[in-house]
Amino acid sequence: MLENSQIFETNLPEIEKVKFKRIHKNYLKVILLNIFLFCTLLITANILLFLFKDSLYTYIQPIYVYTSIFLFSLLLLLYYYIGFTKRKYAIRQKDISYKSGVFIKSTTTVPFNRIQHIEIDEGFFSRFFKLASINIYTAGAEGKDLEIRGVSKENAFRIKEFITSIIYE
Amino acid sequence: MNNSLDFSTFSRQSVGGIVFIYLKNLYAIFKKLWVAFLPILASQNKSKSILFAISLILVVLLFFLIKSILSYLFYQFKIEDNHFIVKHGILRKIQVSIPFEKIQNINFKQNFIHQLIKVTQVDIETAGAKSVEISIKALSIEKAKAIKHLIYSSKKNQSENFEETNTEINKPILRISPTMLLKEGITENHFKSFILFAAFLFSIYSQNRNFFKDNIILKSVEKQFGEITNTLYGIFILIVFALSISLIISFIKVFLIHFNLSVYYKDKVLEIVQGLLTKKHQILKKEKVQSIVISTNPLKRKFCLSSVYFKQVSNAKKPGKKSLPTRIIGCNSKHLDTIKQFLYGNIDFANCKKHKPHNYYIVQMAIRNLFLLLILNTIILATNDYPLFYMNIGLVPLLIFFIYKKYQKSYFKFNENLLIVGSGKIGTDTTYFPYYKLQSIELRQTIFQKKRTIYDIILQNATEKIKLPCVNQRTANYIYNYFLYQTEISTKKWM
Repeated sequence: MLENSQIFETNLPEIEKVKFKRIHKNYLKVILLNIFLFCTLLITANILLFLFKDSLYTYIQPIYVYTSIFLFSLLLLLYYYIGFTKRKYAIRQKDISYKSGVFIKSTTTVPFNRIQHIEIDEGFFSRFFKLASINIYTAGAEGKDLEIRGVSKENAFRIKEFITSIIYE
Repeated sequence: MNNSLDFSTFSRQSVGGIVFIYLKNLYAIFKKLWVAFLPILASQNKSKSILFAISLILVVLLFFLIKSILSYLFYQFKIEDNHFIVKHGILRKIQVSIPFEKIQNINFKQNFIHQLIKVTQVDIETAGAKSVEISIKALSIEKAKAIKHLIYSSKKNQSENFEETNTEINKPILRISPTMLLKEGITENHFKSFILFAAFLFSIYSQNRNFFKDNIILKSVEKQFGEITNTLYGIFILIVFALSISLIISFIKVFLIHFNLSVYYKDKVLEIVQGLLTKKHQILKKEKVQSIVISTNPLKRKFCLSSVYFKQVSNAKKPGKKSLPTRIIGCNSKHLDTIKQFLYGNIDFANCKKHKPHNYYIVQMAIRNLFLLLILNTIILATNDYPLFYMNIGLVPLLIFFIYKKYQKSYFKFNENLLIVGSGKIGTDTTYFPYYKLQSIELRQTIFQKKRTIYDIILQNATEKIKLPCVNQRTANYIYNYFLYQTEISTKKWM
């Protein structure tokens, strides 16, 4: 006896019709902080180079260097902002899905019955905003299969509880 | 019970074990240090350095002999109330205890020294998050069988689905004769062997660069080599030389690994025995095999030969270490049918559509290759080695040919429990994946693909990623939903 009876296209649960939820808006602040930190490091490094009169500045005017750092960080900001708006997740009865990507869009789904374990990870900046990321591991060849960053801590633990209750049923 | 077969008190492995521990230690050290001896052997001040080398070798040999004897003496094992207990370690004492129900497999391994002194290596594989693996280097066959029997019989009482594999009863479904091996050797991918050889040469060269630099003989060889490659005739000879070396390497590889290959099967287990120096027994459990790849090339097809790779979840999961798939060779279509029947039952693809990737796949591959060509040419430009530009004349048609072939060979089709994916450039690989074993599924779309509403589908199972490139939206969505549905309702064991 085959346990899978034929199912027609119209009866399948469709991922296209699932309503995806955006990640928490506070995560934008975490992204901003990270970019700010990165740019500060870049500028400090440049100032240090300038102080020690590195040969770099005999060829290039410092003003150009700082403008390009500024433009670069603006682009970075734009990229991450768009990326932030694309990050969405959804939980159905039997699986968890995540969407992301600016230039390459991706939608990934992991069925609950393949999950090995779940981790909740609170980053340094995320902790200030009570955010956490959910890491979902399967036996898949590449280790971590799904990482949803910027979920409110409360929600993250609720999701973890929900999934663990299902997998250890 | 016979006294020698009593495992209730601690006993040591067979005395021959010392030999194996010793050889293994020496091999490990030799593998690391052999290149260091080359300069000593070739140095000018012969008598002094040879004396030094010999005394060094003697000290190393003695040291490892003592170490081996000690580790032999301290390696003890026993069986006590359904646990297999091993005590080992010279300075740091370790005691490992494995309950029988955790034991997955007991494999015997014999290389030709084992076969000479009539002992066997016993590997005990376990499952679980913290995987423990026990390997007894040498044990008399009688004892080994007794241990296997003892463990399996007590396991049998606990669970019914555990099967003891007994190879003697069944007739093999596949047995490879030496003439078949010969055919396999001829039709191997010699290019791979050549790369292996080249990599080997290169590693020797780079590890002893200083030594090569001031060696006069090598310098003259280099000079002559330069002269040879200047003539067309010289190039021809060089190609023939490289080809014959690759051929020899392929032959040796095939004979060493696959000598006397035979495949047996029983209920849920395939057992594969092969190898010349090291006779390897491998057990494949039906549910552990995640996917198989049937692979052939134009030459092999002439002889009706294909290889099968079984991609299996390894028991001992070491992070970062990928287990190689088990490979069997020399299968004709009848053998393939038996294997497919064993793993997947009757495969019916009569009513299934064969899906080809969208034409954009060709464009995608072309752009990627163009990019590579650009990088290559920039490097050439940077090094001022302009004659190298002529390489493009050969390379461009070759790449176009590869792209054409790759597109031609890529397709996929699926029925209610199996996905078949075709791929390859010169060779042809056909992957069989029962998709209820998938771990995660991903739809991916670049901005260029968005205009054409096509997607890449990436299916991940426990051993690899399978990519279905450039699938149209409707099919992609259907596959995504359908495969997920089948996975989520499946109650079959996937591992």
